[in-house]
Amino acid sequence: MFGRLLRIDLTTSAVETGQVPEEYIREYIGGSGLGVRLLWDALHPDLDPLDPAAPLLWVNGPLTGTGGPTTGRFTLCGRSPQTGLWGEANFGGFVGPELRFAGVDVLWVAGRAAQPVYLWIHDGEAEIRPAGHLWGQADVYETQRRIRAELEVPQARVACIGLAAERGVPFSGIFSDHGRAAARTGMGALMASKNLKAVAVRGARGAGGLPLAEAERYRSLRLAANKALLDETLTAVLRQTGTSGSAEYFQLLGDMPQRYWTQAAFAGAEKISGSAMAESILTGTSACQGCVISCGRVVTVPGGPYATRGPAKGPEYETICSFGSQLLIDDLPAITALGDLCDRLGMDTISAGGVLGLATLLYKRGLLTKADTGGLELAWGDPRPYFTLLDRMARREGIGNLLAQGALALASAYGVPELAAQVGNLEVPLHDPRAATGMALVYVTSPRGACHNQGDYFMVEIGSSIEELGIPMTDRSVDAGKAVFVARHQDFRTVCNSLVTCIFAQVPPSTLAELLSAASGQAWSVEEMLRAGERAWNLKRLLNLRLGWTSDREKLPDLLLRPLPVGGQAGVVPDMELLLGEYYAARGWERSTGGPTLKKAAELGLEWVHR
Amino acid sequence: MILYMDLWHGRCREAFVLADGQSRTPAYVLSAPIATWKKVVTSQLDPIQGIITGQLKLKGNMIMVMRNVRAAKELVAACGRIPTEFPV
Repeated sequence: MFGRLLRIDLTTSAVETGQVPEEYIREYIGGSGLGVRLLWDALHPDLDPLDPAAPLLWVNGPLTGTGGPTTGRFTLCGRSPQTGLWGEANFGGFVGPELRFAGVDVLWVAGRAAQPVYLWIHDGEAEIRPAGHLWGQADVYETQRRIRAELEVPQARVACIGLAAERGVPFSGIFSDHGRAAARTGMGALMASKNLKAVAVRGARGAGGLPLAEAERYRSLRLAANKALLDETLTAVLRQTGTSGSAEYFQLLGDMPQRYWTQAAFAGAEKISGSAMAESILTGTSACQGCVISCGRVVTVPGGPYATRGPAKGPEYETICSFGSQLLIDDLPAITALGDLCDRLGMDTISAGGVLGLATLLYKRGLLTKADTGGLELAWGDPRPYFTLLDRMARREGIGNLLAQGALALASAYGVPELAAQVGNLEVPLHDPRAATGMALVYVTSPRGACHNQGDYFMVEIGSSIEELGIPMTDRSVDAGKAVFVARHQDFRTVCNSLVTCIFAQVPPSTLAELLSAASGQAWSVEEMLRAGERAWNLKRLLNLRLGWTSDREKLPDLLLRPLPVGGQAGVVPDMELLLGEYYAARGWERSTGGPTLKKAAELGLEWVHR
Repeated sequence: MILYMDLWHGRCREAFVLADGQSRTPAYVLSAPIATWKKVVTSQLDPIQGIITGQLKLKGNMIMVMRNVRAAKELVAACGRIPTEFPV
């Protein structure tokens, strides 16, 4: 059954196999929920995120690799070098399924190798191999190719870090396949601190080797669920236009941020949307393992200053905004090239793009000067200097060293921390909380800092109600009464991050419960799944309180609390005090401690934490 | 009930109830329960919201639809100005 554990200590080269305690799976399902339970005993405030003893977990879910709807995903967990708090990064592509095919549900990596190494995991075995020749490799795609070549296993899946992680950039990620990234919270820097360049994996038995309790029942359920998903209109939108297909609509709503959160109307949106991409440079699509949506974009720019080296990864919505609307760049090939460079260097496009937007705002306000930038002139709409800045950021050279420390460090260095769009030192993703105020609550209460994957509540606010969960569509500009639904939606997304499934899939919760029941052989109801999600959400909060989080940090930066005069969110500012007050009541939390009451903890079976 | 509409460069050239859905091959087929249509036409449900959230089922070229969200909203707003009797 699900729960096969492979534990590797890179200091001693010890490799052990084992089994995750059964009760952890029953209480936390898998993925990041299971991750926080497993790491609870290991993470303490005096353990630096980059200390050799700080573990990095690769955690699959019980549905990973099973061919169920959007189940080609897994999660990386650890203490974030970027935020100092709970860190998790959800990873699509093929690596998670391949790990399961190779007999590993949870990979626990601790210690620090004396020299750079990579792991080669195949069919129940793990080898630690030298990677000195790959260290300093400034291209994550080339690293993958070289490892596959030297293993002489072209089907091997490789997840690796880039140059930015080696240089300790706090928002560096882990990359695999065709531009798939576990980008947020600096899991790349954590991996680099272990002198671990990559993990290569191959499970020759494929999905046939997965332990499913009721294989035939599961097969029927997954076929029906995938067929239903394929019939969804949103699936067709994502398949044909990618995640940026909604860009023009989000622009209309005021959800798509522009000029680093200071503008609400950008004519260039129509030039950079998913539709524009489909009509110009799109040459293919890509999908995570077993996914019927296929939202990944493959583009080719045949000529000009931003010509691609053959087919390249097309930017998704967050990158379209980070390197497009936020910088007022309406040149799709240029945005593609910036996103591609950021990936190759191994950095998170949300954070890196956010820092570039802030740098430009500071430059236009005369705070940051040409002397600071090494002679580069920053102007809204001009992509050219950003290529140099991204490279310097990854190498931590010149101004790049300051940029690499993130938006809060940059703004603080110039005396304007209120201009840094971040929560908990994680840069805010590209959904404006003034356009859907439930997102304001999601950003300030998320366990990993400002994050839209812990709750894409903006979708609820534009109509994606979930009747099965009693979550109605709420008015996106009205604050009162929505906190209880935000909390319930977060619990549901924590379930998705535990299974692990993609938030783009409109799969009914009851279908997920049936799939989980058939996979595990244990009966799961929707409410039991939600309770597991709520339990994990609370445990992440309790861990963060242990690691130094305080409730007075639950606030949006001043920049995002300034109303914009025009656009789809004109004049709207979330009432944070109202939202938080209702949220704490809905959660059963206390403002004084920032965490659950003893009664709530006991209700969730977490009284042992309080003790 | 199947309503056929012929839209051409911002004009609705004709619109009528089709007895047989097989007799035409439209570029788009938009379907929903009548109660949902009523919400759309009476401005209680934004048509793009309806599409993105699956309340309105749409088959056809999504690239064109997502490219013209403003036009889609205008089209529905225009429909809303026509006196209508709803069966539900």
